[in-house]
Amino acid sequence: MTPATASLGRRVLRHAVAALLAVLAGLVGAEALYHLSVQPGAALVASVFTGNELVVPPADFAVAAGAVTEDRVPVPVPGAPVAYLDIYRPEGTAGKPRPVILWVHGGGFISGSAATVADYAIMLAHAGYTVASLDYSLAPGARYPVPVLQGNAALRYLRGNVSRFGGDPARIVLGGDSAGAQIASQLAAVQANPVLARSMGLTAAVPAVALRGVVLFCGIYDLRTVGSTGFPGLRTYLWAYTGARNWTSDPAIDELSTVQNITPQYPPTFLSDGDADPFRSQAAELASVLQRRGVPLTTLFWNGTGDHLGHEYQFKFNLPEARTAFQRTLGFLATITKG
Amino acid sequence: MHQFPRARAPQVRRRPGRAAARLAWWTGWVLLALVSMAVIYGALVYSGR
Repeated sequence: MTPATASLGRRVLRHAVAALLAVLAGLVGAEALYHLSVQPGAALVASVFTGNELVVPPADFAVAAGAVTEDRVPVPVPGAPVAYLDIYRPEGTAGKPRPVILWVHGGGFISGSAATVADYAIMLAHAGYTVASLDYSLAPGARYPVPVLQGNAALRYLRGNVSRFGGDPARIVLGGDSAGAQIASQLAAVQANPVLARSMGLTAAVPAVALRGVVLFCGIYDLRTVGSTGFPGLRTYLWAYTGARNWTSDPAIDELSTVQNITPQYPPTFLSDGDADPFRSQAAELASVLQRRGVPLTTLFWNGTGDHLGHEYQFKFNLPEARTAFQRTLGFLATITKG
Repeated sequence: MHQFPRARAPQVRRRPGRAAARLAWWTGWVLLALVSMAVIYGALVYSGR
């Protein structure tokens, strides 16, 4: 071996060792950061959500948007930050009071806002409803049960004030997507299950007869089994929301698992999920419990689409299945809000 | 009287740009460590394990 070759060999070895050490340092740093704090992960996931358009409106959306008015009102919440409601209603307040929908947006508890589902709320309002979209406080800044407290306060606010917005306080429907579906499903359980309400230190905000139904898309309903869905980023969402590194050890796990709190008094439910959504099994589990408890249930589960209906498919109006889901939702809403 | 030649101070031969090269070398590895950390962290968050 010539001295020149030996020198080259030493340099290559030195670089290889340095590269290995750099990658190892990266690995140790990443592991440490991942286990020490939920904040960076929550910020990372929130930034990914913020970059994506959630609702893809239909081609004729401008017609609906031009015929709906919007108000934003604060809702004081005992023991929690003020929440806000974006209230949408068809132009003109004359005529018979309209049924009311309280919508809870998704975003993994750490991102999203009422504005991210504004187009969907406008479409529901254009179909003849007063729609109140809840702007709740996000994790990890605000943890469970803050959004549920805010949702309950929003229901109470609507019960007392929605007639100002052309709404009928005797016909209220709860709805939500993704994390919002979890919150909405729990909120409905609080209204229908006094044992759950008591354990959370709450009282039902609306009488059972006024809560006409629940619309749930792509949500999580059983925190004991949701880990097996393999949903990307799940640990970060639930750590941020519950404050527990391992959410299965959170003492509130049964409160958060709507499947544990379904009573025969739970309102009629419309449940849908895409065939490529990892949370599909969660919807199937809730459907099974609702059926066992005798709760009126309408489902829209897709098969044979080639697994192209992913999480939140119902908002992608460029898909025919999303348009079908919207029509089926309107059909369900018309049935439960009759009278 | 014989005079010995004055001893010269040993000269350190500094190659121009050597410090800059060393800085670049270390900066490269630190950057590699940071990029590795970001990629691995993103993978951990995504995997949700």
